[in-house]
Amino acid sequence: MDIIDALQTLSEEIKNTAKQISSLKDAEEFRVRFLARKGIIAELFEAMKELDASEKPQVGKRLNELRETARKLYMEARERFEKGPAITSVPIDRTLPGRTLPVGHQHIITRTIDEITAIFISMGFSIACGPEIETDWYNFEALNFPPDHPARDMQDTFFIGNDLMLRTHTTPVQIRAMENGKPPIRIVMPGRVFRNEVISARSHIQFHQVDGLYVDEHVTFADLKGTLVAFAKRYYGTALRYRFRPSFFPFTEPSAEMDITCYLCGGKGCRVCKNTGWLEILGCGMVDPNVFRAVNYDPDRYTGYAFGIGIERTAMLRYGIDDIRILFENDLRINRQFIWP
Amino acid sequence: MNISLPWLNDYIDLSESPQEIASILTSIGLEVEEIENTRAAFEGIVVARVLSCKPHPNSNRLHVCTVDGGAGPETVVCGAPNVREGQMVVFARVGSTVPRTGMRVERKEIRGVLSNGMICSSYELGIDEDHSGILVLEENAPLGSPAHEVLSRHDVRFVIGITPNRGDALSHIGVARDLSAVLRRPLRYPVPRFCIEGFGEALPIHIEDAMLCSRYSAARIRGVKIRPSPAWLRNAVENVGLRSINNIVDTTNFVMFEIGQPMHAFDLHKLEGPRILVRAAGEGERFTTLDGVERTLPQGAVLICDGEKPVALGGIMGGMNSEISNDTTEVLLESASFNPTITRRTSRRLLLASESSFRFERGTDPSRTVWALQRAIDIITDTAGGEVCGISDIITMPVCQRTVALDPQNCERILGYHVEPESIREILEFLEFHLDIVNGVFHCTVPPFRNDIEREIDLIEEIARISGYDNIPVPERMTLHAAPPYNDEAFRSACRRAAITCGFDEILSPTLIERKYAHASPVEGVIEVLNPVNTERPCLRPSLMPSMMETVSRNLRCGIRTLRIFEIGTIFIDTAPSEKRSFDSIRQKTAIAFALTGYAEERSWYSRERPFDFFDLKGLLTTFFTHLHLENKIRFNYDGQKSSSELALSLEIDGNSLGELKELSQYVRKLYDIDQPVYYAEFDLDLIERYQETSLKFVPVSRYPMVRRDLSFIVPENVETGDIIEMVKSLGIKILRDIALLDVFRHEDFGVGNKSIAITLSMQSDTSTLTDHEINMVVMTVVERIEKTFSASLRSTESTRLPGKG
Repeated sequence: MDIIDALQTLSEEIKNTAKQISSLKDAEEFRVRFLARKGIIAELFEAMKELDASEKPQVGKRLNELRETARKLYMEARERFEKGPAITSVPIDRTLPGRTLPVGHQHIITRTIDEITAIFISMGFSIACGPEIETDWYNFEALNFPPDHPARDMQDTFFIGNDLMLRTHTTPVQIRAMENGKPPIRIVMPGRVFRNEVISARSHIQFHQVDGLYVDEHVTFADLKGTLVAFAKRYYGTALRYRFRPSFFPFTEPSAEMDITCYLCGGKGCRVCKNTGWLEILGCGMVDPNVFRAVNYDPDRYTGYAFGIGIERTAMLRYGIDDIRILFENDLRINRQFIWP
Repeated sequence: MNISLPWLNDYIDLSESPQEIASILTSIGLEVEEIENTRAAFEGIVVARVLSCKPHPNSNRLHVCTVDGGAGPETVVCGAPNVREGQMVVFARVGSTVPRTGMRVERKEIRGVLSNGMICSSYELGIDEDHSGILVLEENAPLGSPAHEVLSRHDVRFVIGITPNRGDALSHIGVARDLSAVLRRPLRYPVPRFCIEGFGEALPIHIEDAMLCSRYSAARIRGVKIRPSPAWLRNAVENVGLRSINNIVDTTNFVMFEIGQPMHAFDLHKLEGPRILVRAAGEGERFTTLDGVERTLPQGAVLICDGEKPVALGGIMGGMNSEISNDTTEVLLESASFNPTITRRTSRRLLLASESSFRFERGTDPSRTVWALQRAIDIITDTAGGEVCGISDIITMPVCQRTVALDPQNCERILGYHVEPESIREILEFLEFHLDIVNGVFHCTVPPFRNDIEREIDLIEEIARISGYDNIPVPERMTLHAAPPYNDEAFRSACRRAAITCGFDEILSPTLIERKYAHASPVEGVIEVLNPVNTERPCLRPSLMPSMMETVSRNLRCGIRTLRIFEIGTIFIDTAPSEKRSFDSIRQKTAIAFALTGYAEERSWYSRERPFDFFDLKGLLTTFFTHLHLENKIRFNYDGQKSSSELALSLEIDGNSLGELKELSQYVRKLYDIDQPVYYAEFDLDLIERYQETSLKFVPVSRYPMVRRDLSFIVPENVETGDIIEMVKSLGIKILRDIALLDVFRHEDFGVGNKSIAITLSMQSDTSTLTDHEINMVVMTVVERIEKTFSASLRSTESTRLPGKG
């Protein structure tokens, strides 16, 4: 047997086996087979001892070369698998879908409240909340709605007992906050409100508002405009055009409504803005002195502004929802459309 | 309210375009909701001649006509019975819009004949209700000219939303007055010709209570002829959206829309006496109003009576029994001032509102009743003939003139910018305030029609309104205050985020629910609203469950089979019987509810379908509370239900019950028509909030290795794993850092009635690497106690030493 021929065969075998290494496991097998202490090469070194001294140097040299080749191939293979992406022994179908976790969705209304309150919080406002069942005092009287005044018609009320009602606006929280604190008061008041109306695509018996209040010395209508313009630019974009026009709320004087250019038609007039080019986004005004008197604040010392934003309207305009009822029907095929990154 | 632009021009010169005027009105608080341009509505509608008219070949009823509207003959199919050759008619060309219906006129084939337009009836043109045939014009009507000119229907009108404080603006003069202040242009009051001096009393008038009516002015006119109104009067009332009735009624409406004073005309011969008594309605009194409806009046309603019976519901509507008819020859004109509050109450109670009640509720000008009479007399004597034979004017409460002082500096204090005193003076004078300026302070006598002006702030609003809110500067900077913390809402937001992170979808559902659902929950003290418009849902939810289950049910029907939903909302429970209900007896609590139904794992290439079970909800809640960092404060309370086969568990925090989680019963599922298992939990969020973690502190971690030992025991079936864990924890072994359940399983080798429970102990010291001895001591103690307490026997142990940095 010509040992040189045998070594030649082994060399081929090493190269061929190395070519077939397709995982770390294969590499390890390769190592065990050829390079381990009891591997083929080690065995051949052992067998070499039996050879003639004349053959030894040549065979030894050749074996060393083989060992080097095998080690190199082994190291290369290992490196390939350790540094490159993991490779499986069997090809896998990477188009199989991955294992997912369920995704929870926030409701459009609470999301809108969060976005709006976050803007006011960044302007130094805190959040205050109040009860949904209110007394006549908080819902109307303290807010300067005299009994039997037509202003009460603007807010059809659900009564639940003598003097008790579902609040028709979040404004009563203003009274509670002023009673429980002292100026400066700068709060936003999100919450659910109720109106006793026929439910339709445009109106619901329940909806949400964010009220705002700032009371201190030297608060002016100019401050009100400044704050609300800053809010509108943050929420609707800096390019917006706006207008304030006089309106009436019993608890503010002067009162205003804020309109912005209809962002659907750019002010040219469309179905959504009823061809006016404007969208009403909120009501506001300077706190009426009678409201201050109701909470024993001195109207000659303090002034303040208040505002109220309708959440459903804001959200419906923003997301192109044309039926308010959708918001409380909880068809999850709709709720799940809304993911805010 | 409708305001006609040409009518406004009677009192102020307006050269601005309708759009410009609308924008001014809106900018001063008289919001123009719509500009109705009847001229535009008549686009493409012209006067035409019927050149020929033949029967339709395929119809007995229809005609085929040729008409010429000035642009050559067109063939038109017409169904009107009165169409004839040679008539002058109103012709709507193809592409025009029918004014009444808003329908577009199209070229279309009618029974085989192509029709190129439409001959209109006066109904279709919006003129009256007559749709018996086409409108036939006079012979000399100018062919081809726009129809609105011939029909005098070229008005522009504004639909204005008047806020409830502005009773003074409910008339053309009222609106013109505001415009005169903005435009600094004079306002022209019409000057009545009729002079009231030298007349005797119209009839005896008695007002029972001054509260009902502060002034009652009346004129008696005899020899009138009831006729259709002349064109100008008819157009005027129609242009503000009223129906023209006859010359007398139209006159009263005209004056109301001119000055804002509601008026009423009685047929004098139908009044017993004749005399007038103004009194309050008694309990249960009945009366038939002009609209033919017999109504039971609320006590205290203002009744106008003659010598024996009620003849009008004061301030709201006249009566059938004294109505003007075609035979009326003598009328009594009423121009009074009724109590706003009583008018409103009566109108609300009867659900009967009129142009008149709308104005009285908001307050009319009591100083104008006689002026209004004079105006009406002028128009009536012009259009109906007759002569005045008596004037009465009873005043029970004199108009008190209010004076309000305005310090111009306070304008700046409120508005934030300087308004020139000269400009303040001008504005107030145009609004008809009388001013005395003393030491720079404006003492303003309020005109009697401005009942909304009582205080300085009201005057400041007038200044701001007329100067324009646009003049108020927008500051670039704002002051900030250190804001106090706001925990309630922040905590609710945190809960919301936690639930969403756990994979739940948020829902918001109605607060008002159906009675059958409200009472299905075991809660006592359901509150109902007393006056719901929607009577199907009168109950305030005592729990979030009904609306959650409605949501589950609805979605299952929509083909969604897996739901994980949650809601945060207020629930209401009355702790007192409803007759003793008060604000304090009602509990208004914030609750959070969770529901799971369907599949925890959908069938997929890597897993089999697995329906949700009780432990999915228990685990998700544990995760939820961990997100809130409350995992160590919340306790599942097994008492009473332990070892029970009922799938329910209550939760508590610091010994207070929070609520429970459970699988819903068949009964509840059936109520909501749900036929798959639903797992539900509801908790008191206000209570949880009190325990929220507000201070987080760093705790150093051990540098020494953690050792794990797995132990498995064979225990009798009735031993509960939770008890084993609790017991081991209660040993208080310092180096025992954690104990967790690994698995539970049953095998015949363990013997009938036994199971295997495997736990893992994690041990670590802060001061050294644990020695085998220390570890074994702990393991031995634990094994011994478990074996002793639970009649358990150790099956196997296994240990792992995890690397530490020591």
